[in-house]
Amino acid sequence: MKDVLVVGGGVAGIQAALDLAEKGVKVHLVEKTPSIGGRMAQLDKTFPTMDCSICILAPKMADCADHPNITMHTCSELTGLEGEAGKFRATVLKHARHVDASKCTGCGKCTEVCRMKGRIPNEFDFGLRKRGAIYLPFLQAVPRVMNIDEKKCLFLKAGKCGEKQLCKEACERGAIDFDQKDETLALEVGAVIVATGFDLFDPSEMFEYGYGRFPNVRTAMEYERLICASGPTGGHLEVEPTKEHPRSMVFVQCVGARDLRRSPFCCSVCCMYATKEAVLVKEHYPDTECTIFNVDMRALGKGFEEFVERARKEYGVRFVRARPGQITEEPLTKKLAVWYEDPASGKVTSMEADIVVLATALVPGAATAALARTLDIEIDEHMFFKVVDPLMSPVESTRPGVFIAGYCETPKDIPESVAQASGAAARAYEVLVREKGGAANA
Amino acid sequence: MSDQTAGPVEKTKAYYCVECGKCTGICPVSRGLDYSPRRMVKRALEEPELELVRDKQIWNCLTCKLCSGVCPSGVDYIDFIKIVRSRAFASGLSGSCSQGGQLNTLSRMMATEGPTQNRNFWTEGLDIAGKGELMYFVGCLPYFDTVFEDLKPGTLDIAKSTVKILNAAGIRPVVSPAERCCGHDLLWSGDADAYRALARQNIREIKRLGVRTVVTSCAECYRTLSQDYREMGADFEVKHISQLAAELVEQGKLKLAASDRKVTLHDACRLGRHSGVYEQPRDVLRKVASLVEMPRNRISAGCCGVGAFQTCGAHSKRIQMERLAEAGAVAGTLVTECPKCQIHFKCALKDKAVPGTSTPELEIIDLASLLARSLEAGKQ
Repeated sequence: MKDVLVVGGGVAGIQAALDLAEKGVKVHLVEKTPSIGGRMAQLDKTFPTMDCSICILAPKMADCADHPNITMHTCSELTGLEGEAGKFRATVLKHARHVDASKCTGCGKCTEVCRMKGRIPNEFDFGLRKRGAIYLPFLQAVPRVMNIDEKKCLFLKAGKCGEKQLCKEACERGAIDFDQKDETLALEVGAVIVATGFDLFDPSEMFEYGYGRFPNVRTAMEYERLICASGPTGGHLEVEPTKEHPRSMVFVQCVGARDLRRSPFCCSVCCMYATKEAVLVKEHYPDTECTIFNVDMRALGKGFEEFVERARKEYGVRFVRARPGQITEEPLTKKLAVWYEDPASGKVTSMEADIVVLATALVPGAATAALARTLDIEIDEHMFFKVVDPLMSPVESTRPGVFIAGYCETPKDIPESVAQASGAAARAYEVLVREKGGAANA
Repeated sequence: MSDQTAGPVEKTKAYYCVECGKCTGICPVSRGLDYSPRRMVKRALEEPELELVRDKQIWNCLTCKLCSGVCPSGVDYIDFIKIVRSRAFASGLSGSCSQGGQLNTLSRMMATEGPTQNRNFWTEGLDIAGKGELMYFVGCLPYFDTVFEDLKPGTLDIAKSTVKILNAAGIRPVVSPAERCCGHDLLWSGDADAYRALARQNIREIKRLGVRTVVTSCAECYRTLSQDYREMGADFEVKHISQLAAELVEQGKLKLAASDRKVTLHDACRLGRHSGVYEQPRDVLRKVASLVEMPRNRISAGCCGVGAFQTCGAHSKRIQMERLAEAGAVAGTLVTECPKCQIHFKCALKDKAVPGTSTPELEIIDLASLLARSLEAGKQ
């Protein structure tokens, strides 16, 4: 039976890869960053069960690494797809890590000595932590192999790193390989599953909310890292500049989403994650006031409405029906004021806040259009990948043999992404069986 | 005309409003008065006969465009209010013009075909042309110096300075004695007929003179000529003096003397949020002074507190004092791009009757005047 190519190593890609691997199909899992895990790995807890996100995901990530039927290609991207369902020829560009994956144990000695250590904003924590030029993307990264940032490594950039390359000297196993080159892989696959997830809208263009100018205005994804025990502050929320924990927090919903000039669609998860994030504040600091500003509450999954009611009644989270018009900052104390129209009185009111969390839109990745061209599949007006029939064929792309799973198809939460991934895996399997049968008959 | 057939809701697609109140949350007027753009739109949506026109609140909007820029439903509230006001005016209602109606009266006088104005009395010693490709549209500057004599607004100096800048770059601008008020204030206070009469005459005159580029020194003239006149069939290019000066400096045709004087720039809403012109005034300002930004700049700039001389009250004064304090905290000189901003700020600075506020030591000067001074400094 032919292999399957899965593009995107987030929870949807992982689920699709594991489903197929368990059926005995060989899977190539292509991920552009140095580790699989995707967005779910960055979250602190999942709603509505408040499970630790990485605790659920990490075993699945490890399964991918260990499974004899799965070959992971990290730091890799799909650059071409020729042929047709059952007999595709995929081209994958594998960027050099400059670390030999067969030798590296992930011990981290190299990271300790890198001259760039602590000077480069790390991607996983949105720059809230700094890394060196050689680094492990995050604690639970899979594969546990170091990666050298070509653009930041002094030696790779300028051919010189002080007297000698300290990382190379520190590595006991001789895993560091500055001569490693990018590789192009040609893969014969029967089907392709695309699960490339989403990017985050950058709210700095919305001047009214002061993101990027006011240090106490954060995005929800930054907040996920800050409240996480393995995050940059060890799970402690700190208000600038006092570093004390917040006494008041405001969550602003639909930032850049349901906005006719930006992303007009609903991201489908923000009502629930904001509720979860407010509950997390209350669990950490019971006396902290939490207010969620939203235009309406969309709690339509299993147990969601009950979760919101619990947040309201048990934890005392306040919900206000308004979109704040402006966030202002007291320049000396960095204290924030959130200006909004009180729906009850119709009067403009300002609410003090130590920290404001913006629920920024989750949008199709910037590379979506280019990937769609490579795959020769269609995208919709919002740049989500199109399925041929959203009702009855919710995983088939516009090219036979190419299937879609997860947020890159349309906004959805983790369980829905996982379900769609399993659906896509099942449909991909059908292609392989059909092809095998056809070949046997011939 | 579309304004007369389409209602404010249809024209601005205000039916997309989801009543989130974001407009009210950012509105500078709402922080002083019990005023809510959202409630205005809601009334227009719910009332069958646009009863809203009778609400005095419609005259409170500064048309500063902060709300339009942040509305997630893309409703242009200031366009909405413009249409509501024109409906109100058509039913014989009007706002309380803060200048007792005298400025609107002047504009309306010009809207008739006569009388002949002695418009060019101030051009002595300046090099101007009767016909040509580039015209300087002076606007109401000569009138303001008289109307606001007590404030010493120096508006005529803006006009003289603009011609001096053009002359220094070897340009002889057309200055027409038959020019009329651009009609901006009438348009924004609901008198659409008189506005159109003015626009028609100006467009006809500009075409008659063979002009291809019109330069203004006023942000309101700029917006009106470049956007609103276009709807009336105008096809000439419009430039604010800051844009043209920046180009002339870039081309090496205009030499300006640098100084280390610390200045800050107040973005006029008509030039900034209405037209998206932010960088050229700054580029040219940096050539003659040391520019320091206020915290609220460019798209987030504060307002001068009064729009189209409609209403002026305690809330205007508060908006102005906030802005002046913001300017005073970063620089000793506040540069404006619109003569109206200058008039309103000078008025606020003169009036020290707001308890609990301190008046900053601040010089207020128009960009064109400042540039002309640096021409003279360069000659010495």
